[in-house]
Amino acid sequence: MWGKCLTATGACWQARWLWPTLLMLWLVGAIPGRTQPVDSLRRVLVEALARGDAARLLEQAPAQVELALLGRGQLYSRMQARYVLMDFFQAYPPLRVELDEDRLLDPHRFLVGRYWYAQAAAPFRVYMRLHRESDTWKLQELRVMAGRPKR
Amino acid sequence: MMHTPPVHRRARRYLQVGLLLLALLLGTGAFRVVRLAWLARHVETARQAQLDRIAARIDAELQARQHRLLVLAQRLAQHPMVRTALQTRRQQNARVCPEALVALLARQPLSERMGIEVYDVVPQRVAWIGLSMPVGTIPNTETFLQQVQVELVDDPPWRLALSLWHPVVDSLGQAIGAVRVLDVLRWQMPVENVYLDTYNRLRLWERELGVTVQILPPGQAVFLEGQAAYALQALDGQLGTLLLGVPSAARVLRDAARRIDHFLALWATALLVWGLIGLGRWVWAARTRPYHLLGRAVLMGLAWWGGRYLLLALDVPNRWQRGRTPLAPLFDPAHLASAFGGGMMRSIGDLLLTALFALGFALGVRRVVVECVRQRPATPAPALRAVSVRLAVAGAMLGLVLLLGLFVRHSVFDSTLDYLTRTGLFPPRLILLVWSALLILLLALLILLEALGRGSRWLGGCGPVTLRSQLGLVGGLTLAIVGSSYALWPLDRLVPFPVALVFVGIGLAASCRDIRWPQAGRWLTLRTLLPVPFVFSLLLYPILYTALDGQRRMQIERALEQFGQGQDPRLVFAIEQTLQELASDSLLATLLTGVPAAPRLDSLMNARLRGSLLFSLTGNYGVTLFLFDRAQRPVGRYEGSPTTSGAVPQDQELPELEELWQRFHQSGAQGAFITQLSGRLYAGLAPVQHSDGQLAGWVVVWTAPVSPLYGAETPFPRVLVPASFAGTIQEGLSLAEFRDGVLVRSQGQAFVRYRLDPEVMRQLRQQSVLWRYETENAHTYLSCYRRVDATAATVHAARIPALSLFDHLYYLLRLTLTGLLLMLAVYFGGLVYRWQKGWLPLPEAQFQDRVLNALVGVGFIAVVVVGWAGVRVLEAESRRAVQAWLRQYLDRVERTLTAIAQPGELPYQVLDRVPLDSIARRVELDLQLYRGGQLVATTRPRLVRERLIEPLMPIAAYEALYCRAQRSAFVPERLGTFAYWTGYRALLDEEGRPRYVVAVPALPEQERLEEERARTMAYLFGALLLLMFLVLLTAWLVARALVRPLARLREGMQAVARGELDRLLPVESRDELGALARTFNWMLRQLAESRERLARQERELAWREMARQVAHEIKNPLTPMKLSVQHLRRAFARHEDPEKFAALFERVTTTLIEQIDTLAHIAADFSTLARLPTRRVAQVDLNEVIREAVRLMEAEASHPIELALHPAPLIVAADREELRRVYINLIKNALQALVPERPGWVRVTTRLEVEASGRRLAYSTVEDNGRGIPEALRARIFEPNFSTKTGGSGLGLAIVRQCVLDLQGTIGFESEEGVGTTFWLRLPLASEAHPANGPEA
Repeated sequence: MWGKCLTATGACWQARWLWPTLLMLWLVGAIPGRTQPVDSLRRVLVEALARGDAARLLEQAPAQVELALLGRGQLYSRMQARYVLMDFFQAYPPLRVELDEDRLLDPHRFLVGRYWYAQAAAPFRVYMRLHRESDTWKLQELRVMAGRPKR
Repeated sequence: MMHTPPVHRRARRYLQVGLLLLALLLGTGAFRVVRLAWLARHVETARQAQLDRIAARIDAELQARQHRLLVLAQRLAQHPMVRTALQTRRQQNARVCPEALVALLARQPLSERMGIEVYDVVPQRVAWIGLSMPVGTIPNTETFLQQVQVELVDDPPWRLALSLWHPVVDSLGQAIGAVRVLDVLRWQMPVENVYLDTYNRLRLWERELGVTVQILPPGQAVFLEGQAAYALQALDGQLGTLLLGVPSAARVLRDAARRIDHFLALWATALLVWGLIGLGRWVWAARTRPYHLLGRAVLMGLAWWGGRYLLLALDVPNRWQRGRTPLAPLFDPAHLASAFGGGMMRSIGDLLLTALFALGFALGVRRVVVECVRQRPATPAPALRAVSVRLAVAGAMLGLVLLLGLFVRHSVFDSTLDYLTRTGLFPPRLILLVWSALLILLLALLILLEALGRGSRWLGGCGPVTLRSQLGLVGGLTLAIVGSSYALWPLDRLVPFPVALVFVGIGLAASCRDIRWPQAGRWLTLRTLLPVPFVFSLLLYPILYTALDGQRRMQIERALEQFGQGQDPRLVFAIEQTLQELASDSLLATLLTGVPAAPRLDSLMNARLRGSLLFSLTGNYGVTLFLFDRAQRPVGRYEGSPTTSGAVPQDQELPELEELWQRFHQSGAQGAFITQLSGRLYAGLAPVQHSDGQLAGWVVVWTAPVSPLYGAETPFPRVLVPASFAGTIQEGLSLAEFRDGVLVRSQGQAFVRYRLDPEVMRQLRQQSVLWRYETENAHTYLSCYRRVDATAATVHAARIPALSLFDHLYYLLRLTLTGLLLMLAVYFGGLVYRWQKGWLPLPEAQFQDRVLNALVGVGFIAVVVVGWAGVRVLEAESRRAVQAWLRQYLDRVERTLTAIAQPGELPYQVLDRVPLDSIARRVELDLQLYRGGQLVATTRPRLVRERLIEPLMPIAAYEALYCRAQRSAFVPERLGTFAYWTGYRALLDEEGRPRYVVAVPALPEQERLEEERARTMAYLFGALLLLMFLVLLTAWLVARALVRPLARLREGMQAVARGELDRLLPVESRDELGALARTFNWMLRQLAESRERLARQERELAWREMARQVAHEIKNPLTPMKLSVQHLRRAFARHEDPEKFAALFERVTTTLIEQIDTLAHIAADFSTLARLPTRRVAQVDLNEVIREAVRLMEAEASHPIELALHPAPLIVAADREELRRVYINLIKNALQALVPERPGWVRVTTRLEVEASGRRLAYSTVEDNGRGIPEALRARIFEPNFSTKTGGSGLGLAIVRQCVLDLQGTIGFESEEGVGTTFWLRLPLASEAHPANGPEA
């Protein structure tokens, strides 16, 4: 579309607004995520956790997210949550993440898993709560707790 | 021989440093590659080295802590008072209170994470202060009381501390007791909020060192896979075992790389700073060419902000402090972090740094603009250009204002800081830093606006001349830009419309008026800086409040959403998950089947529940778990996180448990069963089964919300509410549900009507959400109504108290105080700057400044004294009020005990038979009961279990009640950082000794009182600051009133010095200043008369001199004329040869004609001097006249004539021709004064000058760099017939001076021999002047 547009007129409306749009996105600091089905979102969340990718993890999050990372629970704006998670991932770099449970309590969905990090053998427990709003699942809450010994 | 110019030397040095930094960067990079490659091959060695280093680091810190404890313990153990007290205790009666010892300990300065105890030989605790811990194992060792001993004492899961015992020996060397000092390594808080913060040194080590850290006491070492064990040294042996998580190979490499990266970042930062310095010089080098300067400045600006992003990419300076206190909170994103602007405010520290970058940028822009304007002054421009340039600049200004709005909004929305807290006069430290950053951004914005205004004046011309047209242009453009933008977009969510108008208006005003700031030495004074915080706060607060209001509304919406959902979905899931896991736990089933051993059961439950979602919700919910055996008999009760065990359910829990069993049986459920018991109390129940399906017992989970909304239902004090609850809405939120306009359920107190306002219903049918400010019972609320269905049959509503005017004043004051702190920093920095510049003190002090200084000083001292006294009075009143409450409460408790007591029973005996809870319910108070200084019962056992309340009585209370035999004691205590008072009352036994001590903590009252005190103090200081502002204003007015007559007098005297004797002073007052003015005027009149007489004499003298000169001048040509004529007559009489006669005739007549010409020339010059020509006075533009004169002179000038004229016309009343001749004369003189030895120049300048009296003048100069006027000749330079030139008549400057004086102007000159001369002229503007009219004027 861009190619056609640029070659046809040299500077069409879309092209004129490309840079301002990108600038606005840069200013607001986030690129809105795409709506995803829950299976895909689940995979994205687990991958994002495993890679320590805070931005990807919060792509499908509402304006405010509740994070409880090792006991310190707090309601954060999505922008702030991104940096809180980045800080967490820096302190506890993930090795791998496994999903153990996926429960639907409509309109909520709970994902429970384990998070292995670089410093320790015992993983953290991870809880994610998704909420469905007009057929879109959004990550509303993420909790990471010191893990218990494997049974 | 060639010399290297200094500029080249500097450039070479600059390059050398740059190359050195680059070499360091590259060298470190190369080292990184080599080092990592080596480490990859020797990862095991590196891993071991890293662990050794970490272990050594931790061991060293623990050793240092032990030494500190040793010093403290040693000092006390050797203190004579301690020895005496212990000896007395041993020799006499152990029940005697060691008053001196208690008093000594009470005086010890101690951090909140330390404790001191003094024991006798038993060992029994004799005196104490600070926190307490279990005694540990040392008293059971053989060497106890023989040497210093240290151990780790664990109070799981709450505290871990170093415990050092130091023996106390008497003069014979015999042990008589011991001093024990405690230092906490871990203090786990059950909840975290603004008052309670977990301290965990181990976790801080983990963050800093990057490995897991665990410390075990001796004998508890458990080697797990992936851990390395190190022995920790104590002063007397082994302290314990340090277990470090063994990092993976990748982690080792990453840590090594990180350490090297710190150096890389350092060199890169230094290189960046060096590069920016170089760029700055490069930009400045083009200062004489404005357009070049602009181009380079743009590049510099890009580099500047590129540098900021480079620092962000390098994570500088955060990377150098990671995990280290006290800077850690500054870069902790949990307080503030935003992705706005690409991470420019990803922490408070980064926001501050960004603000400083913005300030630097703004100052740079201003410097460039000012330089451009200086190099090429603004000139009038066509109206279209003037308007269009200003319009574009106004748009840019609005953009900048909105950018500030975005910064403010994100600093509020992307933050967990509670900006609306009322905790004291100054905002909390982190909020103070955020506001400081915002104030710096505001300063940068204002500087940028001014610079843009100047720039638009430069590009778009000077603009209109009159004030009215300037106001019209500024107002019109501001309204056009801001109004249209706000009409198109909802920008008032960022910046209120009037505020945007003010900002853009300020900026545009700078484009129409030439703003001159005083020199730095003057504005860096306290009196100038003091009003700035007030103005800045007034500008910033509306923007800040807009963001805060938005945040409050968002939080209300969220609370409304949760209210609408009815229940917390996590809770049901968490209960279900816990029940399922425990129900299928075979080990639990085994333990429940046999005779349950409490320690094993506790251990198992701790292991199972740690890390579960259910127990992670504690803080928001109180979670209790019960275990029952197969016959439904209670086996265990667990509460809190981490869990604490108790064997049986409490009395008040039994009815609900009974109901739960009933519901379970009625439901017929076989597995897990969850129900809502009452209110928001959720409970679940499940059978625990063996693997073969046989029933082993039952597990019950019970959750109740902890919230300020349910304060009446929970024993949790509000000060202990977790920070995560409902965002930052601390109190006052009320929620309600209406169906068909009728209230069906509500929480909180604000909804006092059971019917919904019909107007709200009507509006909700048209819109889904409605916001309103409503007043109920004299309280104003911000209400939010949301319809649940399209017809608004069901409506959810939320209300929160609206901020009152006093609240606004309170927050405004806090912002002002933040600004004042910043201002003080600027002031002290300015002191250093002024001192370096030699402006301290200023070489010339103004009387006005001195008066201002004196009055400001007096005002400041008054404010400080009144403030200090006010604070003391407030504190005393607050203390008195709390103590009065507590005394009443204690009296109530004692009266109740007396009322309950049976005949002959003493009040203390009631406590032996009646539970404390029962008494507490009667008196409706929280109670604590002590015996011998030890807590024996409390109505808040949870707080004691969670170590929020110490199990020992505070030493001050003990001293008062047991040593000084007081009935009551009131002692300040702390819960985290929250300070509160507790009242203690001794209940005496039959022998008159305290048997029990009952205590009432004033937690809720203290919260209220603290808030009121904070507000009162804020109002007090607000009023004082306002007073200070008024004092400042009054001081300014008084100083001005005093100084103005003096300034007039000075101007008058200067005018006298210039010969202007008609400048009478206005007499405005009847005081001494008025008398002075009258005397001055009388003196002027006397002087004028004297001058008139003198002038008359001078004129006579002048005419005589003139006559003499004329005679002399005329005589000169007359003599040759006479001689020539006589010669001719003689030739004629001799009848000479006609040819000879003709030749002679020709020569004589030629001589005569020449002499007659000379006479005519002399006559013309004298007639000019005598003002013979007719003068035609009109309003002429001085600039235009000068341009004409310069054009005429340029033809014969061999040197350039520079012009630097005032951008606006300078209209004076004068004869155009005459004025032109004045400047031609001066320019001709200047050109003739130039010397061939150096490149000569002549410059003509004009500017508008306003005298202190308001009189406006056209000030012009004619400058040259010629030979200058010798000192000896300067006094005669304006005299007629004086000239340094051989061909001049000597009348030119005399004529010029006469013309200027006739125009009521003044003329003078400054000259330096060999350097040049400047002639200056001051001519009154036409609107000010009353010209001495010519014959026709």
